[in-house]
Amino acid sequence: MTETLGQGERPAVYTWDPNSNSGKPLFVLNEKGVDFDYRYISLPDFEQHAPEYVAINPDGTVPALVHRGRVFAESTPMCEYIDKAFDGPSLTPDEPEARYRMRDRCRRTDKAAESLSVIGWHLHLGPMVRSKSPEELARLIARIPTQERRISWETASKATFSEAQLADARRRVGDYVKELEADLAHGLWLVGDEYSLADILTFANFYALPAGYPEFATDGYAPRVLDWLRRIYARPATAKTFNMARSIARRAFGIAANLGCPMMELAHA
Amino acid sequence: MLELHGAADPATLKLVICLEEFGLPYTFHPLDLNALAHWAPAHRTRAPQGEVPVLVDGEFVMTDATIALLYLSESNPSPKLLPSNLVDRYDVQALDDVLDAALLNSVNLIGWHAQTDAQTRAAYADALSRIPGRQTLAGWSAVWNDAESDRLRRAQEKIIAGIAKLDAVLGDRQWLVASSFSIADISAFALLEGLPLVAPALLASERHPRVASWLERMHHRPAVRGTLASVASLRPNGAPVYAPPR
Repeated sequence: MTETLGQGERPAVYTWDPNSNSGKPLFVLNEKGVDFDYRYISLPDFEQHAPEYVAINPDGTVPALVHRGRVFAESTPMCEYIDKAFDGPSLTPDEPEARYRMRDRCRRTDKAAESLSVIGWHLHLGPMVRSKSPEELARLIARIPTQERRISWETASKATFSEAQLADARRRVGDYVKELEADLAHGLWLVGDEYSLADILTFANFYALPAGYPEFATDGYAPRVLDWLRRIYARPATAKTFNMARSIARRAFGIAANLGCPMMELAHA
Repeated sequence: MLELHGAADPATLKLVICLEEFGLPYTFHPLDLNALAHWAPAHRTRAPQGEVPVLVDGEFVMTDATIALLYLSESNPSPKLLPSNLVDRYDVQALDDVLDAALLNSVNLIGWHAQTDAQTRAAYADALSRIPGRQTLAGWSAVWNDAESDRLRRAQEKIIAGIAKLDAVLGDRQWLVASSFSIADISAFALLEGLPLVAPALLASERHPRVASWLERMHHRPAVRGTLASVASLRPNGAPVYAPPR
């Protein structure tokens, strides 16, 4: 009966773990204190291209939000919609210049996430995809709904990165952490003193920094970013969101504990 | 006073059209992209990675044209270029993101290729490679950055798919989002406007009649006419200008 979700006031989110883009609407809805239905779409199993899901989101991408029967599929504008459409604390600054900075930070984070995904592809997704038989891979690619993404997946499925490219991607992650450090010198949060979508959407991509990139998560390299991570891990909405995780984002509990701000881990329903 | 640093490339055009729609006074500082003026030290004080265009409002420097359009629309209530209805507003922002991700680089690549010869492109790439402190293409961008013929083919496929999508989005409407003119129309127009001159086959009107008549409507807007007149001196023989690869 999944197709009837999100038809009224109660929103539904179709997405994978609270990890990168998949996590954005989960963190935001929980921060707003909005109740919603969560339908799990497993990216490693390519469930985002399954016909049942494509019937809901023809783009075959996650996350997708459904509210009052309308499907929202672009993750960053989706979060601005959530912020305005529901009660709860505002996560967008009122002042136009601050709002520009918030959106600029979100777009820069999306770009920096490319470097994260290079490493992620190298370590996790790439080997998994290449372990599939050519026939199975061809079948999975053939059901991708748009030609543009079929081409991308076809190219990506063959992609391996050189040591130089991997080192470059790591260096860029480090450069981006320095950029965040510079922002945090001007206020408590990434855009001044108000917690905003810039913090949440950046955290969704960088929450695992201490695990994957320990060299950049030190008091010597980026003390303000470390403190910023701790303050976000300490928020009730963050623990609530990670308790919804089923696979990769479960690592957040160990990361938070190592940072000295453990989150209460509830038994999975 | 607003200061705009740019060329007559699609990303700059959308800012100029937006400024003209609002009737805002601004000073335009043209950059010769083929001469790498956007990588000169003077421009890099505003845009460290050679971003184009750059809009400066007093002390406030904006290097991202797409969200600069949102900034202008939210700071200037009239005319209304951003719907107040939340779903429509999402549609504007989502369409902007899709255009940036699927079309912007492809249109620039196809346009720049049509207007340069192999020798010019090689000389440009060589000069670019010697710019200090430039962030080069990394990771996935480098994966896509394979043989030139493959890149061009992919860019054409993306443009064809993007135009088909816009045609479907338009449906029976006058404008791209809801029933009112918005910054989404400006963004899309700035991307497509020059294609009939550099890649006419991609925009064949018989395949996309709704996009064709929407382009026609756009050309009739005084702000669009004003924009094309004000950048005319940057477009010898009326030829559009495209941003070279980063």
